[in-house]
Amino acid sequence: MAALRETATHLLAPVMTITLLVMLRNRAVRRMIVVALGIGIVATALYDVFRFGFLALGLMPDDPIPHIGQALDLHPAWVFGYVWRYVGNGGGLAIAFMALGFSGVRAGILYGLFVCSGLVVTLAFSPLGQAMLFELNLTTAVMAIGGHAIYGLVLGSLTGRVVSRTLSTYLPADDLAAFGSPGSEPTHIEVCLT
Amino acid sequence: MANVAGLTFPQLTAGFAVRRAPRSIEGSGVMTRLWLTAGGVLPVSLISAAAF
Repeated sequence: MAALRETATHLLAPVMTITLLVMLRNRAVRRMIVVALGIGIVATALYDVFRFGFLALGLMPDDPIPHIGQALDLHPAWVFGYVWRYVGNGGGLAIAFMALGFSGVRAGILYGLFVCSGLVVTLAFSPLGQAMLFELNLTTAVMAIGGHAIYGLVLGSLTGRVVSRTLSTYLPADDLAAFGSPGSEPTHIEVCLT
Repeated sequence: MANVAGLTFPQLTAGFAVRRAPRSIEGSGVMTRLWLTAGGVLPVSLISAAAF
């Protein structure tokens, strides 16, 4: 078992420091990270609206997010759990999405489902996954798949809007038309950020 | 640590396989994107690693 607190201290902190240095060096990267973090946080919030429905209906016994804060040994656990979820998971995955040049609803939903597959594998095969997060059953599978699809939909949609808005600011209409609709071209993000 | 690598790099590989690696961000190069992608998936990967 890789203890979360130790890996966060010895691995995540140095990576974040270097990423910060990359951000400071490059304005386009800085802007992309800020935009991606914002979009990721909004997408995670809408995922949580869906997830809280399951909690409110008693379909899940408890909220697993404070368990992350407990694993970090930081208090109050729910605050640090949610910071990790929103900034680390939601924001971080949005940074990866944009860094890979993805945009658009279809790419977003596929990306969300891909991320969900990682969660399902973790729950199904890891010794501590279900104890640390939640029990894997039909209800939680629906919650996880639906929630990640919502996350991906919002992520892809907002990324596509940001890209098209930035394109329309910097490109003439004829050039913009050459890029098609949001999400249809893999090169959008390069144009957006240059 | 092996779990972290084992969970991070399949995600990266699949991400690149789904779509070709795009060009650089303002001339920063593919390595910048790779770095941001690896850093972006790291928090999720650490959670997975902690569960193993």
